[in-house]
Amino acid sequence: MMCVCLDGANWLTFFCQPVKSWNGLTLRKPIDMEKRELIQRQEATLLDLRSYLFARQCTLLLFLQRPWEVAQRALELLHSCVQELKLLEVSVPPGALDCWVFLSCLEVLQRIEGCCDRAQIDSNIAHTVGLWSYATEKLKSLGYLCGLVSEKGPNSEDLNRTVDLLAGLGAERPETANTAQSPYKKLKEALSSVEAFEKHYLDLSHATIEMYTSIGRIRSAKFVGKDLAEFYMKKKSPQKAETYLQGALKNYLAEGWALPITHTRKQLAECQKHLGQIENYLQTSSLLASDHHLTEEERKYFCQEILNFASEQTDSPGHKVVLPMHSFAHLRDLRFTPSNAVVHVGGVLSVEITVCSQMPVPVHMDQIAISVHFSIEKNSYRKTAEWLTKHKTSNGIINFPMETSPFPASQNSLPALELYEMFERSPSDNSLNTTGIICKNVHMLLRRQESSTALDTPSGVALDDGAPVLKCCGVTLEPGANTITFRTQAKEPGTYTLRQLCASAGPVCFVLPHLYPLAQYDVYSQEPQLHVEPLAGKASDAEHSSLSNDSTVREPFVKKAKLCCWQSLECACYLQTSSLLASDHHLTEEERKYFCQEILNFASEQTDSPGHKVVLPMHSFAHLRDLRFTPSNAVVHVGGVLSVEITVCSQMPVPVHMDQIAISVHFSIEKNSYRKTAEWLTKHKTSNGIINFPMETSPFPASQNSLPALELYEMFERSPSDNSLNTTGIICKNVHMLLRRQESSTALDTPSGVALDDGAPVLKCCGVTLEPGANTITFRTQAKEPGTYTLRQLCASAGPVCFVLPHLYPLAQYDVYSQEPQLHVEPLADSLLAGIPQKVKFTVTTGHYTVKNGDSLQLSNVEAMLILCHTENKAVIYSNTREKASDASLRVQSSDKVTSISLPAAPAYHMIEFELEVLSLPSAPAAGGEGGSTMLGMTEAQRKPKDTQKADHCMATTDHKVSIECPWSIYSTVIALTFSVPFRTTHAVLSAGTRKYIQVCVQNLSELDFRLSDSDLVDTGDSTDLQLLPLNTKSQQHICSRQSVFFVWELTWTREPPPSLRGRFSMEFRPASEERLSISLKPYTYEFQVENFFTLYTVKAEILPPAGTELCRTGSLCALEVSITRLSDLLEVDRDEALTESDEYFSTKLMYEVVDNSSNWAVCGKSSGVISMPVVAQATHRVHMEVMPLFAGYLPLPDVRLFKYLPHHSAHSSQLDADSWIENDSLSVDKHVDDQLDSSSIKSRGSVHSAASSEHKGLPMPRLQALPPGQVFNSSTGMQILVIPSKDDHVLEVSVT
Amino acid sequence: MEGGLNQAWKSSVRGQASASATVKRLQEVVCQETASSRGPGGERVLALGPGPPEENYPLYIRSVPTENELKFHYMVHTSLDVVDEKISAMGKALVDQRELYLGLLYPTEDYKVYGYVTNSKVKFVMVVDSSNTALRDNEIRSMFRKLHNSYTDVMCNPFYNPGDRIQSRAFDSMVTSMMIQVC
Repeated sequence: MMCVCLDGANWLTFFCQPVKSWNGLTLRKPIDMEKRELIQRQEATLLDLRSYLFARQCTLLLFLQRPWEVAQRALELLHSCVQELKLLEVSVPPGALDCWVFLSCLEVLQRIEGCCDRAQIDSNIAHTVGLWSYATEKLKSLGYLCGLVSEKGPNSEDLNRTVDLLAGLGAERPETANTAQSPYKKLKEALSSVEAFEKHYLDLSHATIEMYTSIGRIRSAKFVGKDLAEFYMKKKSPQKAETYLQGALKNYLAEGWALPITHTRKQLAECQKHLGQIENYLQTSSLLASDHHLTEEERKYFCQEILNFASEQTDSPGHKVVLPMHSFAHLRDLRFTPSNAVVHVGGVLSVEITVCSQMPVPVHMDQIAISVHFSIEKNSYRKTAEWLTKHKTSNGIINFPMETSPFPASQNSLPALELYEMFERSPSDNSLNTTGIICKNVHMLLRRQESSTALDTPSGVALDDGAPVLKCCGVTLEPGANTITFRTQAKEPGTYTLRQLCASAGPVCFVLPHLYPLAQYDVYSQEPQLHVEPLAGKASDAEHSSLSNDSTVREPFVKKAKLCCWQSLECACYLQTSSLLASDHHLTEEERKYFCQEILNFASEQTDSPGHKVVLPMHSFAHLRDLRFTPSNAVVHVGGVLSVEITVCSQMPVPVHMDQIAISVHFSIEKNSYRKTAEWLTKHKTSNGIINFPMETSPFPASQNSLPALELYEMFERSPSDNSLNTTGIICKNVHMLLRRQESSTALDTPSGVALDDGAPVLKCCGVTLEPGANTITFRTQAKEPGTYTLRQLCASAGPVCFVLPHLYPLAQYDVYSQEPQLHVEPLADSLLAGIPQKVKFTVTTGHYTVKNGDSLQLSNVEAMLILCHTENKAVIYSNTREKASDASLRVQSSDKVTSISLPAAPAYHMIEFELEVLSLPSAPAAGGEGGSTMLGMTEAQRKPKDTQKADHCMATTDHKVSIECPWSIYSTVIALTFSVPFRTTHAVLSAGTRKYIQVCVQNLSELDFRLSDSDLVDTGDSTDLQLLPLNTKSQQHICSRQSVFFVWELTWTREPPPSLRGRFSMEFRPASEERLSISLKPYTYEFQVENFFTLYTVKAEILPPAGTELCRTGSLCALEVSITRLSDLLEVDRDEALTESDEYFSTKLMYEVVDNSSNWAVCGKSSGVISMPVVAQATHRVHMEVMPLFAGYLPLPDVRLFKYLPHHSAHSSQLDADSWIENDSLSVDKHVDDQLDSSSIKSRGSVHSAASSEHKGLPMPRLQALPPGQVFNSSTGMQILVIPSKDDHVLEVSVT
Repeated sequence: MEGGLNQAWKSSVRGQASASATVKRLQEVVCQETASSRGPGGERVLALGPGPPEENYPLYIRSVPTENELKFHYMVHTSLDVVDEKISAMGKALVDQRELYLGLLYPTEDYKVYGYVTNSKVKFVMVVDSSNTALRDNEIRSMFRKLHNSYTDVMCNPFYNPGDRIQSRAFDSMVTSMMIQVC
């Protein structure tokens, strides 16, 4: 930029003429001839010259395709022109320059837009946005100048100014005259009215903001937005302003710019006041009242605003405004009185807080309250009065750190995690065994999930409503520090945590949502107690307490104690070093012995002072090699004996006699004890009981050896009230071992690092001499309380010297359980068989119950099950580890209802086992008593007997429930025993002409072999007409497992027709393995019934070779003659629907059917038909058919089947012509679909009657009923006929089947 | 001179590896302003603010005509847009060798805003009256270097927590002298 600051340059005066025209740059003409002339005439003003020069530059740059440079240079030009005019002190009417700049900006922008496309412009916003924002700025200042922004509109002065400005614009240039959006027109329009100005200003502002945002200049966009907000505020539309102010404030807060924050907040406060957002306004006011960047007056004003609101709104009590406290006051410290924050129930506790008010004036608060969280500590045994008073010795003052940087301020309202340390003590030795970190205010955190978008709004503060509070009413907070005291009377024992601090004035509450660090007080309740102590023992205590009260007296005592300690420490160090040297193989034997002796000497010398002990780590003395539990699964019942055998490698050169070797044990009652049942333990713990301890390979660094390993467990806990998970953590169960280790010793080999686990229970073994090398030591203990015991420390002591292995790793544990007595009854075999004596094993697990003499089991008898009493019943008593302890006899006494088994005396945790024989009486299986099924069964049996045998292998079962009363329980145990019937029986009726035979098949389903004897079949129907002749062998029969035996009887009768047979089959059976049984067994029985077995018809089929030939040939038609003969006169069984009667003459309808299932024969023509059979003895019906053999050889004859042909309805049958029925049999064939071909041939034959057949088509079909097979005897079954091959070659077929 | 400064700066950063991580995140805004229109005495403000790149809060900010401080705060804050733009435009490859001086960020009618970014991304911003023609690019550059040196001294103070507002008296007096000299 050229320098125009030269002093005394005459030519400059020329440019100092007052500016009279401000019509902006003209860039649309390549050369502005007007201005050129002015310059030539030396009449050009500064602006004219500048304009002309820039127009020329612009033309060139655009010609060079550098439009963005035009924008950049334009901005510089405009800035420097303004500066130059200022420097030259040119008189410019107010607003004139603004007009010129505005017009020029728009002119440049329009010029650039004119030569670029949209996409180019969009991608180069960064270059043009400066002009846009400059134009916006100028338009804004013009608006303010001309009174276009004010509420009332421009006054006369403003109007005059506007007119002057418009005059300076002159007339519109001709080149833009017809452009609608020319800068000139825009400006003129904008200045013409308030509305037009608003429109143009908003357009421009929004465009600028949009452009800034699009190129990521967020801060600039917010700044323009703030101007816009100011405009809106002037225009009385605060709701529009608020968005922009919030946006800007958010940005400033995020980046921590204090002055812009204060300024914007002030604007926002005004805006919120107009909008009536009371809470937000109060919040902003409180922030401003505490803002040190404001003047005192301003702060007071905002503070007063809050107080005014508070005093005004007292009449509507329901409405509360909750504001965060950090803007109002700051909690500095908190002090409990009494200082240990422990009070008994009914005692008075006072809490004193110091609050720094940040308000500029004293503020009167109606009430200040601290809300308190109350929890009853679970491990309340800890919180005894003594414990509390002893352990809580803080000075009762809690200091709250000032939040140093308030940025970002929005974070303040988040509640902090209330993390507590958790401690739990083991119930047995009261040692700390659990620590963890838990969060106790999850519900406050979960509430915070919904995040508020607005920035300074107080919605983020959750007021802990329901909680108990400490209150203090009517407090005036002076600016600066104030001290407030709360008093409370303790009511319920427990722990109280101060949670929230809330200062309220009328409806306005300032809330500190959480107090950090935590402030707690405890309330305890104490049972009255009486202590009686000997005075003598108390003496030292008394001295102690007096000492502790008087610090001057205390001093020498402490010194003495220290000296004592020092001496013992020195001594311990020496012993430690000695023990290390004694085990050092680099020394000679003599030297080692010497050092060893030193230790022993010390041990033997010091036996007189029993109180003093020297504790040394064991690793230098001996090494634990392995550990073995007996029983090996390390599970014992209560009262049982457990032995622990350890192998210790002594590293001393000589045998060392130890007074005692002890293992200290940590006892814990498992919470999830349901898992630790005796069964679970015995099943899951199957290790061999040996634990090997690895030798520490390298003793360097030796000092590491004594560090106990962390025992870490997961922990979950649920709150008792709502069962929600409120605690998780990782806890360490051997904290007491670790915590003791905190004090580190500087000297290396000193033993001070070894902690002796004093109070724990121990396993002891006294008077042991450790030889050099491996030694085995056995500890015995009797288990007392159920639970899990962990072996912790190994301690070998000789006199006052203790060698301690501070931890055993890997973990060695044993479990002690307590078990309820139990009774188990189970069959000895896989399944119990009914009918024969079976053994059942009874097992009594005594558990903690001792079985005394006279204790007995009372079994209630079941009718169908016998308990067989033998005189020589034996019971075996096993110990818990399945070792046989003793034999005992068992007495079993049976009465009608109860069988009593007197148990032998057995100690607790033993098992009594004995066997009893039971016999389930076979209940006769119900066989088919119904005639139909019997008949059908018979057919099956006749045809393929093998299939039925295979069919089913499932044995029928019967359940017997026995209730047993045990001596240890008032409840009786119910035991179900399932017996299986070993046999399955079927029966069949076999025919030979009119002779009948009954066949009974007995199938053995069991795994046992049986002997069968005395088989018998009797007719239980008591009819003398029937006789059964056995055709069986009389001797015993052997039936193997899974096999069948058949029995046959011939059935004869004296009166025809024979009645139905009710048969009962019975047989004796006994297991084949046992020669003789002590008791007689009940026979096996099977009952059945057969009916209608008398033969009514015989069917005889015969095939005759064609006439003139001797033998049948394949391919040639042969004659099939079927004769059906009735054997009896009318019988009862014939009286059914098929029977027709006319003049004492009875006939029945039968249907025959020739079926050849093996395809040996081709039946030519009709294969089936219905015949009317006279019901007279020896009535014979003959049917002639033609069949053709298809194969050569001995062919079985085709089957001829006979059915009873029942009319569909008896009423119809009487009306219809019998003949038509016979001939229209095609209708009746509803059974065999494969006979369709034949049927069609029948039809063709009976074509004469086709009309008649069609008549009956719509009628229901007649039915076929199979004749009971016992009633039909096929005399040609099994006959064969020889067929020879035909001589014609072309029909020769060879088939191998 | 500049190289030397860079060297010194780098070595101090490398010397304290742990400290350098914190320093890297700091940003510094220095604002200097001369307003001759207020009178011949000329006043200036220097402000400086640290914070992670996202935060951009002032480590130190000072303006001499205190009555118009707010305006300059807004101006410096807005100028950070351009600083960010310039830094990201420079690319990552040249971070080590790049020029620390960013030049004129943007002109306004009355003021010129200059920027400077250290290797650890601490930003210095200076606002000068545009009528003050005595200040050319070279002067601005050397002022920034002075500022940077002084800032380095502040950072080397073991009692200074990186990220805290600068309250060093030495830094303060250096800024004051610079502002008086300029006017």
